[in-house]
Amino acid sequence: MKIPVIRKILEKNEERATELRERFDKNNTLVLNLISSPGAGKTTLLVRTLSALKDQFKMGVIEGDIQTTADAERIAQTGVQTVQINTEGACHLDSNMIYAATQKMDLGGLDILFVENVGNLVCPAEFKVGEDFKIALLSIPEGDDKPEKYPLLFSEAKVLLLNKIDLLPYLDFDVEKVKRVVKTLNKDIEIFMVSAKTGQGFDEWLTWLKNRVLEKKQGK
Amino acid sequence: MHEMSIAQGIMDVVKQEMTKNKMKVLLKVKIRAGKLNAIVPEALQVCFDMLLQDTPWPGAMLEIETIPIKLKCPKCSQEFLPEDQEYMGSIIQAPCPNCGTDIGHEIVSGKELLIEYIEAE
Ligand SMILES: Nc1nc2c(ncn2[C@@H]2O[C@H](COP(=O)(O)OP(=O)(O)O)[C@@H](O)[C@H]2O)c(=O)[nH]1
Ligand SMILES: [Mg+2]
Ligand SMILES: [Zn+2]
Ligand SMILES: [Zn+2]
Repeated sequence: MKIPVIRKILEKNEERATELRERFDKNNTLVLNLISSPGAGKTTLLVRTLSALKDQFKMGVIEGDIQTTADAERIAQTGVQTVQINTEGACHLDSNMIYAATQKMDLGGLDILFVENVGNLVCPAEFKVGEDFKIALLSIPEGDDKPEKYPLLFSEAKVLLLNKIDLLPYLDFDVEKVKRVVKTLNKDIEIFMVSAKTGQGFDEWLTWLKNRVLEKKQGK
Repeated sequence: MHEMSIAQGIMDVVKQEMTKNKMKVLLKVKIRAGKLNAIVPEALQVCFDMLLQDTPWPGAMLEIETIPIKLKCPKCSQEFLPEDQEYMGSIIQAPCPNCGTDIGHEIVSGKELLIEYIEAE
């Protein structure tokens, strides 16, 4: 007997993600899902961002991309509340992992919650974790063909951070091409050129963040 | 390797449907997978077969229909399949074949990840 189903394969993950999102919305917490290849600079970017904003905002980090314990220590040194997820073997975070992590956190009054996803450009884009926005990071040494090869992430991201621009003079990376390609499927994406190492370009990124926090406070 | 999570997702839904419809033996599952999800069908098949071993119906079949990427031009509303055209092998550097617009295309299909039907008795 043939039984029509028409249900989403990832519906369980999405239901849990929706629950999480409702909780974060109630708290007016801005939640950002950071996605990139391994080594693109998510942790370095986070450390610099947290250091710059920690006197203004109450923030938290869910760290799902621990390569070495040094990573966690770098985040912990900023003094920002951090929960580590043991993702050994997993290629993405899912909403259940985030749910479990939030059980260990003090969410009260949190302005921003950063989720550092597993280093991978494919499936983290498919598994919602209750975020307001996906933030894609692409670092200059990875090459300018990544958005063409991984269109889903770049079509869903609200922001693209082009990181390691301090290395631009040494590498063949066509910034204009990347911008054009990304906008094929994502006209309104915000693209910021940054160096998490030197801090170059951070003003614009931090301003974007502050504006999103304000909007979230106003319940938008 | 997100195929294991996807196979798990299929199993979750299938088990619910089997119970709901009071079925005893699962014969087949048909899914639709958009090209943008970058699923490797062979890998999904292996994961699905592995999970089947822990069910009462280890012989069930999985049929995967891959759905091509279809875009819609924001300017002239033309729908087109970017992969059909020869844009230097890229699936998203896709000017509209009708008016040439190359930013802001809407994704009409290619993102779906659905169970279409099951066959059971
Ligand atoms: N030159 C340069 N190196 C960077 C920059 N950002 C990060 N890195 C380096 O890239 C490596 C990987 O960074 P990490 O933050 O651990 O990447 P993650 O895996 O995405 O978290 C480290 O050696 C960083 O010091 C940058 O803007 N410029
Ligand atoms: Mg990291
Ligand atoms: Zn995965
Ligand atoms: Zn057109």
